[in-house]
Amino acid sequence: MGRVNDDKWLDEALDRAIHSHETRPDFEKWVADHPEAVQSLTSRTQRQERRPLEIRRIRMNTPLIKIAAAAVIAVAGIVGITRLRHNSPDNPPTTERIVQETLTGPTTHTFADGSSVVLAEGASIRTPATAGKKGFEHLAGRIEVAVAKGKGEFVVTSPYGQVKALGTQFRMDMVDGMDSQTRQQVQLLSVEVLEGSVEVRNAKGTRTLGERQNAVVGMDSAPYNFSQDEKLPARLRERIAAMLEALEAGDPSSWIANCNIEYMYRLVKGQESYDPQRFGGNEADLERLRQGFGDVASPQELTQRFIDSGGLKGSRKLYVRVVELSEDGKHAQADCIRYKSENSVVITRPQWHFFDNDWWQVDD
Amino acid sequence: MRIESLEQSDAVLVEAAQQGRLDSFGALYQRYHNPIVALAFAQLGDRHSAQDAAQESFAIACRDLRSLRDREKFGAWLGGICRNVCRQMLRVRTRTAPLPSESADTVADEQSERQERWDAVQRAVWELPAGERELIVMRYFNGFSQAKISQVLVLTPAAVNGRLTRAKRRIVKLLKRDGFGSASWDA
Repeated sequence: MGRVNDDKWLDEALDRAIHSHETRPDFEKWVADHPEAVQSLTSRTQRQERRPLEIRRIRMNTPLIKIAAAAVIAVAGIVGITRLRHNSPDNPPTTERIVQETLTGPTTHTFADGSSVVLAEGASIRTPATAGKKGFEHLAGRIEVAVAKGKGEFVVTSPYGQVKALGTQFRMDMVDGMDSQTRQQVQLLSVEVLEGSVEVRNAKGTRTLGERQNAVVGMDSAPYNFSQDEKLPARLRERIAAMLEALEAGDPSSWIANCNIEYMYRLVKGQESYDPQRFGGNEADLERLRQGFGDVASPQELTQRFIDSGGLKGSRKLYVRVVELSEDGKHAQADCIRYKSENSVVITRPQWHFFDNDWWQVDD
Repeated sequence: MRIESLEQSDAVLVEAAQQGRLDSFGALYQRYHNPIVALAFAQLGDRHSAQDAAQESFAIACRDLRSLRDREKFGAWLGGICRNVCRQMLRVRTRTAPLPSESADTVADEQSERQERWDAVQRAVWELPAGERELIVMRYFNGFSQAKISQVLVLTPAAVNGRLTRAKRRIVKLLKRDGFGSASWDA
């Protein structure tokens, strides 16, 4: 039994005994072989279509019935003509059939009013091509929308809520991945305004975003934008924004600028003792830091050594789901999502502490 | 600008399919076809029958899709349908030795000893309790990830890992019982 832990031979044996050469699923053949099942699935769409009129023969045996029938036909004709006159292009008939189309990225779609949407690979939208209704449904993935100016309201709906825009450009990213460490499923919608403004609304709340602002929306939570969170000190919000900008720009110098390098210098030189309220790691982390950087001669050299020790790795996009502030108002921690790979995300929790008369980022 | 790419979730595809989108059901078919064939193979022990069971499972799923309320659980729901289909198939045929058509062929003289070992492994797999057999077959049939297995078998990835380890221990025990101790694998 000692070899159970050494699974290599057993893996090979099981692989040999069970492995199947993967067959490529042939959906078209399956559809051809199962017409009734397909009919059952698609019948709802067909049921919504207009049913043909049933024709019944009415026997008109007496003059009175004939006169009554003629009167009914005349009235129906007048009503029909009146309704036709009222059906202008701006006022479409309510029985108009809705034709929907699902688009999958990578592609770009341009709407009749000149608005457009760019779909990344894996993204999909459904366009409700109904006259008089502008917008579409965001189903998955990352999209960038440019709304034609001066053409009225444009609404993008999603399972997380709706985004209403008026002459603007914005990005939407529907994240649906698993945290690689905790195996926790992460689902959210990020809305980022590039130009103009949008209103993000769901059952839990409404948030109006301006240029360069971003909101994160969970399935059961109101749209959150840390820069509009009044509970947070203004300086802290600046720090968080600076962290995001540095990450997006891939600029380690800007990233380091959010940390209290003077304090870090004193720390690595042993002039400050370990304080978990100011240093993000544990005492062992501090010891490693001192071993690696204790020989620096100045805060400037420490900054350069930090920068040289490795740039900002991984995806540059970070979505801030919420920022919690401690009761004493001197410590804050954010709950953020960062892509690791296509379907994998990482939950990160950067912290900021207030000391030396400022807010400093101490951990990510 | 870097554009991230993300796979559509089961829930989105199921919702679209429930509204009559055949292409969305097609995406689910592509996603789950091989895991469902593997699951059926674990029940039936025959690859051709497993293919038939998978096709029938998708037909039932397609027909009854609107009854699925928890759209995220499509994989587990489909797995349940597959097990029912396999039970019905097993009722109408007497199950003989495991993998009947797959173990008797190609026994060349110089390979006979090795072939005997593979057959022993197959026998051991089919002696496992049903739940462990499903796990082992799904893992080795096409090398499905723990995440994919957990979707179909309604287990957490950690539970998949733990049960796979237990199942392997049991296989080793069964192999020892049949005279295929660890030494015989060194050749």
